[in-house]
Amino acid sequence: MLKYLAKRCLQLPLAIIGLTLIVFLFMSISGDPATLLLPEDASEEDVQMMRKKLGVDKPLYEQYGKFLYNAVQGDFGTSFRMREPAFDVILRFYPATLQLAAAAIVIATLISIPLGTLAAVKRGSIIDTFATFISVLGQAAPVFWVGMLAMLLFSLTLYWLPVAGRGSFAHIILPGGVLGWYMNAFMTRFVRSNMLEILNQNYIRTARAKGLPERTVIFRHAFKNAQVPLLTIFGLEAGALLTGTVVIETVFAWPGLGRAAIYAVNGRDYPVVMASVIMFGVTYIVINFLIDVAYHWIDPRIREEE
Amino acid sequence: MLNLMKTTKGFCGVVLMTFLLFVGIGADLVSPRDPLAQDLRARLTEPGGVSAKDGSTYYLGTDPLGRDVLSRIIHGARISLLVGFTAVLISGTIGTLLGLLSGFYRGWLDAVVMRVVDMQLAMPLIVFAIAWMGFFGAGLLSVVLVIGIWGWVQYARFTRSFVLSIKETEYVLASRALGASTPTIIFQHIAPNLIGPVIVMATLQMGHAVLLESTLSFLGVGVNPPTPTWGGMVADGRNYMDTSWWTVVLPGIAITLFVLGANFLGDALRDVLDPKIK
Repeated sequence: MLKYLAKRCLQLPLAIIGLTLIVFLFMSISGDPATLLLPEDASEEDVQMMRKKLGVDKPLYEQYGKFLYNAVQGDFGTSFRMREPAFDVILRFYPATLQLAAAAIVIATLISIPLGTLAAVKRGSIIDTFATFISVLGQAAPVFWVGMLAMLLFSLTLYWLPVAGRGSFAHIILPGGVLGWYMNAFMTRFVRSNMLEILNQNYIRTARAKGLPERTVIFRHAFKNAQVPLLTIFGLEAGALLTGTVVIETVFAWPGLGRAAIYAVNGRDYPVVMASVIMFGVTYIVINFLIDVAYHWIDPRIREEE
Repeated sequence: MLNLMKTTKGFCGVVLMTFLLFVGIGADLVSPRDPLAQDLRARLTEPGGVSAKDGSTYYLGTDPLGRDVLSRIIHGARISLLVGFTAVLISGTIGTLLGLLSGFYRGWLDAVVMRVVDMQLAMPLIVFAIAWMGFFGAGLLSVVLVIGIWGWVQYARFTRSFVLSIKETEYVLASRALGASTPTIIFQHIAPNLIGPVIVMATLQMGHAVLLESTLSFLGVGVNPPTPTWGGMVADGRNYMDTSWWTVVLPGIAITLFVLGANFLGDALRDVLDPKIK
């Protein structure tokens, strides 16, 4: 376990370096920052001076080294719009995103595990059809649209919940619920097919043959083994979750990292774009790392393979 | 084709996609109005409302600038199809080719391709899209390139593992023994086996591509206005949703139907082309 952990810990910075490399490449290909910052009629001398000042006259590897050195210290420059360090801007918005993501994961888990299990146990029943319908629809309907329909129904027609913003518990119900619904689509399908596979195993047949009540067969024998692959879904869904937060934060004016990133893109606020991309990327890498480690820890068979 | 339509899913997929294909291609012929023409006196007209200018009917109403929602949805289908096809073509070609070559030759090429795959997998698509749009700007071309470049990984991984398993089969060895050249083996003996699974993957990816295009356009970092896109239409109607539901609800239905169609067709194709995994 320790050996594995050490190996994975070593891979972590490599993935993050890969991420910074992509961002740096985009930044270098996108154009000369000196000409962007100077007025159009600036002389060649001025451009050269600005290039020197910004450090873009140096070779690429040197520039990347400096970029990486600064990034590690959380220095991405000053936000063009907010006039404060880009990393501070990102840190301010980050907790709201984590809160939204956590709410969505809880909701999606609470729906998908019972629904998927029930659909598998009662295969072909109305519940199964319902679960399939929900997951097919959830995967096809765009999440921003579902968010707006939910807003139209619950906030603008029934007046049950606030339209947008963050503050009270009521504020998180709609965005968290919609994001949960979005994640639930894939998760229910996964839980169902995974459970179906387990229910066809010999040891389940044995458990039934020896006369155990169906409840014990499902909860003690089948469900316990279904837990491990559940971890995989969280890993697979991490990307969808990040996409979802960006979209849902925009729909519900949730003051999180995703909305800040989209604002920055629209306002050409490069330092914030860069900082948010790195922050999102690092979050994604860390989530996958934690899941890998947990997977390893829970399932003894994976440990034995080492 | 008949096999494809035997199941309800396959039938729905074929019908939906054929319908959308015809609507998209013949958008100029079937759309009742110019999708860009504004009529501010007719802004936010209800579905079935009549134009004060010429007495004609707005079957699906108008948007906040008085543009015909039906015509915009019809032209939006064209954009969705364009993005879907082009993006899938880019990712399918790059991915399949690199997967084929890296699986067949292994060595440094395989190592490089797989490292790039790992690097890309460490970055979710939305992050890649934000980075791209942030530095290169939004627009139709950017959307196609982002989705196209992003999608190749799946094809490459699939093709590579497929080639690895098929490379050692007897018929490949036999053709080598008969003196076939490497390109002949790759493109005449191995590649044809990939056509079925790649078509299935491409069909399913098309739904994803359209979903993503609409999401980016909704966020304002996709196809630029005034080009009619379904995601952009939902964004346009956002502030008027409480009084004019059609501006938001109808384009969303179009997106959902497209993605459903592509997913159904992909599933049905998989059943027909690969009976083993039925």
